[in-house]
Amino acid sequence: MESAPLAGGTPDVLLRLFVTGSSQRSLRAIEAVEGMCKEFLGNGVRLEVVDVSETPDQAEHEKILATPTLIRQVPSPPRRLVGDMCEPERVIQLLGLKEYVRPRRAE
Amino acid sequence: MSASRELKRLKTYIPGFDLISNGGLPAGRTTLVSGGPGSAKTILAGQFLAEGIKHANEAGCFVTFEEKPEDIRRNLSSLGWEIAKWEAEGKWVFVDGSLHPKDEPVTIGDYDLGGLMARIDNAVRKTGARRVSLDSIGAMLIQFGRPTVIRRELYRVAWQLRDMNVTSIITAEHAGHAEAPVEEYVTDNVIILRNTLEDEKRRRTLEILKFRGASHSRGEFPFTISEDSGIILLPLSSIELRQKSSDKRITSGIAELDNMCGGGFYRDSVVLISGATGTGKTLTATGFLAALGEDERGLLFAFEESRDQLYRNALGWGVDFPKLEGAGRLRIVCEYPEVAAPEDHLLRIKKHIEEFQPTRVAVDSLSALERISTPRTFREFVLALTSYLKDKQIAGLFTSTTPSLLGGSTVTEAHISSVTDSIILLRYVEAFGEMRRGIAVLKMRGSQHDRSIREYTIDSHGMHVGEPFRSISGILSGAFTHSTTSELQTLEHLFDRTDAEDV
Repeated sequence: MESAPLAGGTPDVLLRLFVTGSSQRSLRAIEAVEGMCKEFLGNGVRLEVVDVSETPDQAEHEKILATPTLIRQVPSPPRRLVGDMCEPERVIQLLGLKEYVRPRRAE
Repeated sequence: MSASRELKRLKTYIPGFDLISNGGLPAGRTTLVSGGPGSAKTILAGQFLAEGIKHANEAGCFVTFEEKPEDIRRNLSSLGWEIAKWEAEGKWVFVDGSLHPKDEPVTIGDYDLGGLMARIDNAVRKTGARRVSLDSIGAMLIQFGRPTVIRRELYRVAWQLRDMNVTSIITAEHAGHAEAPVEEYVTDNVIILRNTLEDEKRRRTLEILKFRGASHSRGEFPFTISEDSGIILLPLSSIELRQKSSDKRITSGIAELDNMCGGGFYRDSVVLISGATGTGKTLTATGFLAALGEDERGLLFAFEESRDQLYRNALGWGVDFPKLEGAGRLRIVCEYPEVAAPEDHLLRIKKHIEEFQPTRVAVDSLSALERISTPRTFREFVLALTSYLKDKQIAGLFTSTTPSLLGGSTVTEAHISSVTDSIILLRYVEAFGEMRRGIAVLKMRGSQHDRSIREYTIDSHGMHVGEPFRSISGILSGAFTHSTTSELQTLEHLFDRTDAEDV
């Protein structure tokens, strides 16, 4: 389920998305966050998708209650969002990722 | 699934709970425990697991949304539960659902509690837990702020727990008094905890509101939180007064009083001695304890006088308490009634009885305990103590102080006269310008007794009962009239009738 890192080495931003199995909600969130990364964020951003039903210990470690949960793990301090992440602009704003937004090419 | 109609139960081993719930919590189901702040929800949630580990070696999983695990570990360990040790042994596992305020998640769009479910599932698998407690929904609602989602999700959690075949408790805040919490609809089983102030006295109760498809006792049951073992329910209404009806008699310590009672007290009976101050109640209790038979032991709970005072009084009547204590035949427990609530006194009394195994127990006086109780708690206290003594086949003697010097009945009597087997009245009698004392056996269950009011005196050897007052009536009410001998017959009959009606 883990999506390939967009760049090698330590990323500027590490996002972890915790989901449960292949529920509609999970799939929606994965699609939304992956789309957001592709569309708005630069190469320094890495996304990992974690299925809590497969790796509950990791969910335990991060104390995940709700899924989907998106955590900005790097840079610290971490920030959390809960929900299906249907509004990418708000996600970027709430996770403080504005400075990592790729400059827009002219349309 | 069991084929029987009645749900299978899981014994909680919480003292008293399995009795009022007719066998424990519905096995494999979720029970909602609802209560206001400070109603001991967390203790109940923890105790459910602790008792399972202690008595049935069943592992438990504690899911906390409010306090951090380290706080719960510390707070509950003060009740004598070795949570850290159990964790090391894999018998107790925390799932930490508490969040730092700074971690409070912002929500965008729809979500579920998949993370929580996976973690509970994981913890239950690892430990083989049979019991799960979740504490509490309120904290969860605050964290996520979407009550409808949380309720929908809790419903799913309850179903998942059921699939995992664990028996679980979910606690919920319940601000109001009468109305049921919304969360009630999530589960088939609801318990309400209350912590109310009644006449300036704290009163904790537990009520089973519903167990779907399972029977249970109805109404509120008082409980107390013991320092070393947690919640203890006092299932008063469900205790049947088992009349083992021993016909064995024991002496009251006063030969004439034995005669009045038709040959002494019954071995498993509870006697109430009612009288104004100075009429000899403590003396009667002293005599009762001094009259121990060969293999008997006595226990005195003194709520009014200090040990020294008791020793001195007893010595004045020729009874050597220290010697009896030294010989291991007597234990005296002196306490201020105000140091504890009636429920706690009851527990202490029981503890002493279990340790000392007495055959006679005297409480001097009940009125002192009445001061610190509401009428209801007091009645429950007396009921519980009485049924406990009877169950153990211990002879009990309670004293009760009348508020007025002359006549009158005590509130105590009104509350408990139907519970006690015998009532003996000690009264001041004003006779021809002199203060004298009269004793009467008002009630003696299962036996004939002397119906006259006899005069008694107290000297350095104790109490001496003499002849009946023949020419005075109205002693019980305190409104004396002196009658001539010719009227005597009629009056005696009158008294007999009122006696019968009063009891």
